[in-house]
Amino acid sequence: MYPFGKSWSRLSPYWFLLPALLIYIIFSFGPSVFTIIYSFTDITAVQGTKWQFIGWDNYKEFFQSGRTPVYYAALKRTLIFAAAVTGIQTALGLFIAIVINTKLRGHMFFRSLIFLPVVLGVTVFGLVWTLMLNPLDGPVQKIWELFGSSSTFLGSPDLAFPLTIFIQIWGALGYTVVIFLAGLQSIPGDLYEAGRIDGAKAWQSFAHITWPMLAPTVTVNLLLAIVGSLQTYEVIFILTPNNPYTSVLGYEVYLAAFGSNAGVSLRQGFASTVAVLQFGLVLVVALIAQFYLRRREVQM
Amino acid sequence: MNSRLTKKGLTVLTSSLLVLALAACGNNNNGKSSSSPAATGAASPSASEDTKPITLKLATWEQPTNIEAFQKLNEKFTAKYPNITVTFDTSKPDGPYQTLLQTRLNADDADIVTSFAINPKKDYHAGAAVPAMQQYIDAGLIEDLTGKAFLNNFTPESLKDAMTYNDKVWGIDVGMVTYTGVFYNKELFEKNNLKVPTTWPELLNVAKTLQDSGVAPFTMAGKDIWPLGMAANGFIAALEPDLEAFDKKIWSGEVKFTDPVFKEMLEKYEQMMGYMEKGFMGVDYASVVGRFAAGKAAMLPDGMWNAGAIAKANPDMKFGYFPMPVSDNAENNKNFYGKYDMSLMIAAHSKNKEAALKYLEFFSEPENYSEFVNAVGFLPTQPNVTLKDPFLQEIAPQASKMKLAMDIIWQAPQGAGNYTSSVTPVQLLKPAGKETPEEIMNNMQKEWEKEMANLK
Repeated sequence: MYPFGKSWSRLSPYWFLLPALLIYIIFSFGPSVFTIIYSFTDITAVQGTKWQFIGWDNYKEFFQSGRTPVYYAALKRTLIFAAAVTGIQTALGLFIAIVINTKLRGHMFFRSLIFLPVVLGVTVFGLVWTLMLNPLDGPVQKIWELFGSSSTFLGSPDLAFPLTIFIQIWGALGYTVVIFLAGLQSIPGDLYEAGRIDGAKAWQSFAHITWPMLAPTVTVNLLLAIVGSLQTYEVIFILTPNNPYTSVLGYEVYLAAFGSNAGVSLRQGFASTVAVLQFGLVLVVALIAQFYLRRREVQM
Repeated sequence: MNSRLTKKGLTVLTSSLLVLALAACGNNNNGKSSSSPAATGAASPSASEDTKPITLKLATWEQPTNIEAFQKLNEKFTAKYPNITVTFDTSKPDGPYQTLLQTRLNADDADIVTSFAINPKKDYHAGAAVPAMQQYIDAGLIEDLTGKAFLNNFTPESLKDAMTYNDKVWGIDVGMVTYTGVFYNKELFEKNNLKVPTTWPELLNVAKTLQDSGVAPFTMAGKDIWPLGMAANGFIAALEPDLEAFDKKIWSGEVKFTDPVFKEMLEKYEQMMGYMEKGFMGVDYASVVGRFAAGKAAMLPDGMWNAGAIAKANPDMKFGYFPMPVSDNAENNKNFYGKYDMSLMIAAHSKNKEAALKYLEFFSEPENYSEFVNAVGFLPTQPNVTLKDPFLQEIAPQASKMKLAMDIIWQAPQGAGNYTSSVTPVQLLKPAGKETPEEIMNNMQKEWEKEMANLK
């Protein structure tokens, strides 16, 4: 039974929604639609410059220009980045959440400590790690030297990218942990009690109580991590700018739109194209992930 | 019940509309209040143009010496024109500044902007992306300064090479800088009985002697990547002294990236990297000066602008600057290469154009200009400037004859990748990158051919 009456009064809930909807359309949905439209133009960031629709030319440039290998490499790195960050961050986050969810001494302190990088933000912890990884006299190099080894870390073409993954996980872990903690605390204590009476060991109570009860939280964390890491560029921008061996799709969008590089300057149209392709990637991956995760929740 | 809900809904709706309407009113009021002083000023005869308070917004990048020099100049300027104050609008250099410049010009929120030379693309650069400064001028965002009297204070070459586009002059250029030279530690050279090298074999000999004596011959800021490419300009220039002709030949297909000149350039660069201090690929640009000033390495290929920073980091240090001697023939190693550095332009949509012109005029007065250029340490673009800095005095005779570097002449095709964005992609060379000279050359040619095919 529709609770809002008949004829015009049926519309009343929509009036309530209207302000929020307007804000959403103006600031979120509208710009997204325009990004798709712009991706078919040669518009630049300079006001007053003539621009026109150029059909699929931007998309052709992505797939068929001299820079195409760069985009493919960036795409591959984006997928590796997302897989590694999502997997490790979620697993490690769950482990840490379970550990500090116990009545450990000083668990409040550890909680704050782990959440700290999230508060600091990527610029600050990026700079912190740049100093930590300074190859000439940084602390990490000192430890490396104890094992008779040395590296240029963020300057090394092989090591720079794995390091950005590590630093991204380090920085975002607190977020995952907090969400897991919330999930853990919503599990009723009597379930564990009942389990204990039935003689469940620690591992059994994790596998049969914690893990299934945590399924919705796992879904949230995985999706947030997937979407966030597929779109990442900040950590690359801070740690290894201009490095041809660490670029990801998000960074290529930045370069095309704002880079001062001669080949790609202020090209909002082309940047929109890369952004649309990135959006497509995020959409497909997130939909597949969501499909499996929801099904898993139901099965449990 | 239902009607009450509807009423509530309507109340929410009307109140939100009211908020919107109020906000709109607020805007109107703002518009009025900002225009009212001007209106009263025009109405009352006592308030003349010269007393109306004006704030000039100057957009520039954060570089301590530049900002300091501007601050001094601005104080003097305000002393002369008490009603005009100049405020800064700054960001980090390079990428962030490009964003600042773009947003301020688009929003008509700047009066004076700084940039570099215009460097428009040439006719034969058929498929090159349009450089940003050229786009701003084409879009009518920069004021045409052709014929202004203060331009005559500058050398005709600087106006022509740096600030002219479509036969019009769009600004003034403060000075030139070279970045194909090498800072060297005079004490370390003397200790090892070394002379300034003038050919490539001599340079290798110097590097080897230094290394044998336990000193790292070179250091560089490899982590930031771009310093590697910047130094490579000296390599290609020494091997191919007529860079403009060379650029033309690449675009016409007469020169291929598989030609011996690229092989020589990349192989010699590789040799130099072999003499770098360990871990140079992790050194960032902010700390490289400290490494050199502390004597950790004897030579630093870098832009001349860091001379001041070196002297500041170690006031007792004796150092010099020589052109990177890449050719085996000493004759080809005499030149410095570089670019026109900071330029000043007026935003075409500025509401304070008169005041902005006064500022440029004031800036161009020989006395003020001389003070400014001495403070920022560029090679002057006005004649008859007495350089105070001993380092500049020492290099000026040779460096004033500087030619434009390859990265200024080169315009990359729109879809250029890692190999042809510049013609010296040394960042891909081992150990900075992962490739050998042959691999890079083949990939450059492949990428170039793909680009040229796409243009047709």
